[in-house]
Amino acid sequence: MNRIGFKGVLFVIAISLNFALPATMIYQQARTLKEGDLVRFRTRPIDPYDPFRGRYVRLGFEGVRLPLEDGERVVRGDTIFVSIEIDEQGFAQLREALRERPSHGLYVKAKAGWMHSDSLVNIELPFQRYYMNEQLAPDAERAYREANLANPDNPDDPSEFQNENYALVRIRNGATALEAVHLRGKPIEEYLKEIADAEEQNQRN
Amino acid sequence: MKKDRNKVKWLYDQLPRLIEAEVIDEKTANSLRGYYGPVSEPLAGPALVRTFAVVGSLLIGLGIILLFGYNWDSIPKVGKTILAFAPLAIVSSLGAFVLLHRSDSRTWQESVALAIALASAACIGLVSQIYQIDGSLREFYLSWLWLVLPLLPVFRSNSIFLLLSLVTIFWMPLLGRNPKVFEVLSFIAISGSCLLFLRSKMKELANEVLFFAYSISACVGLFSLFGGTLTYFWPVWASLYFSTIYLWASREDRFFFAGKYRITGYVARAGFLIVCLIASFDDSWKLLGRIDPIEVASDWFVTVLALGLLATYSALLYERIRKTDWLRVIWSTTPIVILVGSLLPFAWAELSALSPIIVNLCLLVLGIYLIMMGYRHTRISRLNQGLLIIVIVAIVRFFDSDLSMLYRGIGFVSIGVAFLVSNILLLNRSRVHSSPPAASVSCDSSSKGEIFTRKREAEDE
Repeated sequence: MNRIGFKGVLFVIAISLNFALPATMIYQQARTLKEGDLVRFRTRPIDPYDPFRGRYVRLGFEGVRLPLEDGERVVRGDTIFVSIEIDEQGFAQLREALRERPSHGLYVKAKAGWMHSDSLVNIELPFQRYYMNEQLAPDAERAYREANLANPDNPDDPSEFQNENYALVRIRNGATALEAVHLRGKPIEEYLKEIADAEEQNQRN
Repeated sequence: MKKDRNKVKWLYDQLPRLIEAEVIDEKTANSLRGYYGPVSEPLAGPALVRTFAVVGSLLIGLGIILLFGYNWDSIPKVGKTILAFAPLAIVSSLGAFVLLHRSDSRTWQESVALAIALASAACIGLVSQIYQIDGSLREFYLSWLWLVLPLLPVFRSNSIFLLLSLVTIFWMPLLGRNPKVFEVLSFIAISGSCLLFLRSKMKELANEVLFFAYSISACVGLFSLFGGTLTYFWPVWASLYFSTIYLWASREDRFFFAGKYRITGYVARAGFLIVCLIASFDDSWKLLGRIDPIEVASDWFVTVLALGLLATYSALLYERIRKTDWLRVIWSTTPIVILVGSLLPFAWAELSALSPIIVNLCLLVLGIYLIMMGYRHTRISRLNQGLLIIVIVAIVRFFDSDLSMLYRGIGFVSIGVAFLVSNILLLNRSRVHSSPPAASVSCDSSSKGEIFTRKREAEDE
């Protein structure tokens, strides 16, 4: 009887943990989405497939290679805090990579990527995947790549769409929640629908 | 109890002889049968039923993961969240039921523990997808290991032990050279629990250790066969090799003692199936078109080895045919079909596309035959072997073709359900069959023959 009691308690703990972890994930994300500051990150071009999580669009960001504080070294996978400033056009700029949590200002909790010999570190931002429908994801990936490429008529001038492709991210105490991805100024889903409608129209004509 | 049943079985086996020798009369024999009651033959080893229940839940679990991975746009966030938690809620309640009412059933415990572990992974994965949460694989594995770990002492489940070991193996390399303190502590806790579990299961595991030792030796044998020009005809030689081992292991006057006989048979059949599955892909036959058979034959070592193997195989197969041991004959004739399949491209180049199709058909026929025999003779393990073959062929073809997650998910769930339902149906049928009235046990020679057949079948599973 004692044995069943022990097993029962352990079972209840196990199951509670199994529910608690995803529930906490949802709670934190919902809170960040509700209370966090809305920040725009300029995206950059880069169809991965994850067997457990369907398909997603992999996002790349500008200025993710940052110098470390004096004498600091990190190893890949270490937690780092990245301070953020908003530029005059309203986009986020990654400023500094810090080992300690900043006491004020906007910052993001991220992971250190590969170190460069010149004490520069690649930042792996925690919002690099945008999950989409299995059938839409490849189109989205293609649209993302095309939209992020430089102006096709003038490859030397990437500025044309620079401010129209971005990820909308909520930030609260370093925690982040990816809200939407915009291509050419529109949410990616809307942008894809417009392309599909235009193609359909072309075919009809 | 098991020993008693064997003794009663022995006694019933002796009764016709005793009557014949006039030691006892028919009436005494019948009263003995009336006193001891019917001997119910075990329809399948509990380990096999357990394995197949686990396979069924695994398939359904995988199917559900695939279905949710499809990511329906039409379902709102809340709906998706409920769907993500639903499997976990269902299997958790099932887990509570098993702990309270089926704590003596290993099959229930194994299946439900594995189902909870998979539902937990599916839930975390889906929540990450629905809420766009980007986590690293390293963190995912660690949290999952901790969530699964308590299931080990609760259900004392072998499949959870294997799952923990496997996930740890995948997780370890991600830690790199600077694991965090918590990660090191987690590793110590997880591997410590696994070792304790292993120690408590040492006796049960002895068979499995033997199983692995055998499979390794079989692989080494196969590898040595693969050398040189034989590579070109590998589906033929590899299937021939495993069939020969299987036939050798089914001989009555075997050199190995009885315990190893079944394991060898299992390893040989598993190896044979793996070869057939690899040969069921187009690519496996690509090399064949580019070689000159005369050049291969001029390698005398290869030729002698091949002919020796073929001769041993033929002799053993002939022996089985003479003993009308049709089950083993059916299991072992596939190499001939593969041989024909691999000679086809030499005769008619246009027919080279047929070779993989022939192997697929051959596997399907074998699977269907086993299911039919299993159903006819109410042998659950034979039915499951057949189902397993068809399931594996289906899964391989699922991944072979570029099917959408939706269809693959539906496929997996339906095969898993078919697996469980057919097992439950046959188990019910077998319960009806296994309790005949004592008086119906006749003592003529046909009954003796049936007992012998039953005994051989039990050995075969």
